[in-house]
Amino acid sequence: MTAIVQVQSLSKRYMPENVLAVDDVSFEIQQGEIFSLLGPNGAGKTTTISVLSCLLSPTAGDAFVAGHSVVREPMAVKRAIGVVPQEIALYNVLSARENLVFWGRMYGMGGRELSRRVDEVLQQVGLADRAKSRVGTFSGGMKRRLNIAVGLLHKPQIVYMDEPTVGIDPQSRRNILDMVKELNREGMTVLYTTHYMEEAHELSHRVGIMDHGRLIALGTQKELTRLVGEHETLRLHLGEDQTPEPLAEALRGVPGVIRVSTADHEIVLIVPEAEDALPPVITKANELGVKVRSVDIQEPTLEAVFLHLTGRALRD
Amino acid sequence: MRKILNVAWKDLVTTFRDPTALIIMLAAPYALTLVMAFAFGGLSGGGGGLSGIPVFVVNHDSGEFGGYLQQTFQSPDLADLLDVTVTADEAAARAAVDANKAAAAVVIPANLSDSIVPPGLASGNPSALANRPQAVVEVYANPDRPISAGIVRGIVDQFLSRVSAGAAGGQVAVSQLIASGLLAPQEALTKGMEIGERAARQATETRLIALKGETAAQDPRASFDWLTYMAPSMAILFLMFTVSNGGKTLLAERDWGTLPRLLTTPTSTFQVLGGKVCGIYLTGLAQMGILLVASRFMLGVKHGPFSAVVPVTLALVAAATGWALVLAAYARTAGQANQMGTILSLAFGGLAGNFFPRQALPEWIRTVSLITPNAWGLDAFNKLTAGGTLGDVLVPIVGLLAMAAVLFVAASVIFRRQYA
Repeated sequence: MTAIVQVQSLSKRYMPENVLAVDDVSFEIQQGEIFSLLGPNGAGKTTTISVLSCLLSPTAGDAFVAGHSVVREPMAVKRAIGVVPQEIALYNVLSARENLVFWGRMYGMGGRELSRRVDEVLQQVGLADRAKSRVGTFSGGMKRRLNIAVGLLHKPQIVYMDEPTVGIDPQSRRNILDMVKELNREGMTVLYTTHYMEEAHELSHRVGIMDHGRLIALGTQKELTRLVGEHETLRLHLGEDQTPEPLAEALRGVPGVIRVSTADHEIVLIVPEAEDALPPVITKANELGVKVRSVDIQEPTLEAVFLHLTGRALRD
Repeated sequence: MRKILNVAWKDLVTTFRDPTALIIMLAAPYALTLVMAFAFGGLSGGGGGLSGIPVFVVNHDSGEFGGYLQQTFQSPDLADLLDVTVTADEAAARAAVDANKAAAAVVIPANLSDSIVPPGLASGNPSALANRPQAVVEVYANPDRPISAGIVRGIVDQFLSRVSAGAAGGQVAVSQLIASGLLAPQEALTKGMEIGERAARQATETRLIALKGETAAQDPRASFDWLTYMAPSMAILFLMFTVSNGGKTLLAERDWGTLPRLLTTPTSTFQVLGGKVCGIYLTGLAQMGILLVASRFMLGVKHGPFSAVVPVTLALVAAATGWALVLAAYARTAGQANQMGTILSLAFGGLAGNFFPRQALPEWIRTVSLITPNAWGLDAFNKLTAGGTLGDVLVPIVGLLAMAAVLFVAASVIFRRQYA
């Protein structure tokens, strides 16, 4: 496999706020893989994609896309990439076809080739029958699919998808995830950012976990879960009227509990064996008068990895 | 260049598909043109809505007819319309016009009555008719008040037409009566005036007395017509709204995420901004074109020769686009640009005279208003509707192009800082 993206000690500091959004990040994306950047909001994922899209200049370091430097050869980089931004960047008063023709021309396409590709991508995203409808009349999910179609139009060597499922219904989300997998089966390399652990888990060949601008872990899912050993995740769902903090504090002293974090009305525990840990946990809850509505036991996940590495749940 | 035109075409299409934009661009200026022209000019030009026009009357004529003309101005029928000052000091009257304190000075020559009824005629000398002096009634008009001055000129013109017609008929009749012995020479004056009065009631084109129209600084060649003024005036006013909105879309595209997306395509910042500028320009041009053509064919407004209207419009839209770009470069958000655009458009409209005749504005405001494309555009269209040609509007065209150049440079400097 050859690396299509090479990120080398990349940093980006926003001025005048003096915020270090990306801090000395390095990774590679191999041709044909789905590489996910996973992290909470504000972790630096979008800034990293913006630098790789030549929208922002790095403060330090460099990145190479298809062999071209984002600093010195931005036009060559832009020709190699397709970008699906987090916002739906389309013109509502234009039809789906008119939008695609417009964006295709911005990628230097024209004539019959453009017309053929417009038909192909409309088919690919399932909007062929709505080609002449104005985008303003589309549902959120349809707009998301067309947003992706724009990024695929010129057959890029790699497509960047920046949280493409934000704010849509579960069915549309499912469609998009299937579309990404289908694209990858056809040979497309994908850089996918998300703060949904399940999406990264389902799609990715490799995952980079970002937090506070730093890449804190990188590898296949197996490699990453190995970081938390054979530990399991025990998730306690409390009642709406319950505050998790007192119980969480008490559970930190329970033998066998490795890590404890809270989120909304949940307490997440990393334990070696969930079955062994559960009785003393429930006992402690009863002692404190905390009602536990349900309990989930999970195999090691990317969220557990994030919790293990940062001490915080991914959704914090 | 293809990408620039692609962006421009997209902007043009999206604007013309927006119903709200169409109302602001086309329906509103057209409707306002009709309303304002109807309110002030009854749709057919003239001086509706004016009153108390300051006029100086200098009567050098000691005869009857100078007095008649003076009385015409002082008649109760015209009391509301005119504010007449009668003076013997011609220089003071002219100075009042020059100082913009009067719309016009009417100078009645000393020989007006003699030119109508020659003195020799009264003493029975028919040859006096052939040797009668030529009289010139002068209307010294204020170029800053063309409507008011036009009204004064119209009153003098009407009076002279009547008297000339009457005098011509009376002179012929009296000389024939004297020659045939039916009328005693000493009765000639009374009889002649009687006949003249009667004849003056009949319309005739014959003029024995000249009206001299003189303007202090310029020579307007046509009378004021509200509809002709308002049609380009409202088009220019709403052009500013349109281009401001175009400038706003540059910031709105940033909010929509389409601007960053454009910059992720292999397209330079120059091409994207160039496309946006072209889009604003083409939209403004289309709007002006539609409004001018509509007012020409639906309202019958003659804007002047095509060969002059086109370059004026091209230069006007360029200057307006320049302002829109500076606005877009200066504003931080689309909402801010929208508010600034509205304020700028209304301020420019008020300053330049888009809502009422520009000539009625004080001199200093007219000078200040030259920072607006509206003022240059209105000056150009006023000249063209008054019969001017391309040569007459070269100064406004150059002024507008210079303004466009300065604003484009200013905007590009600010943009470079923002998008570099």
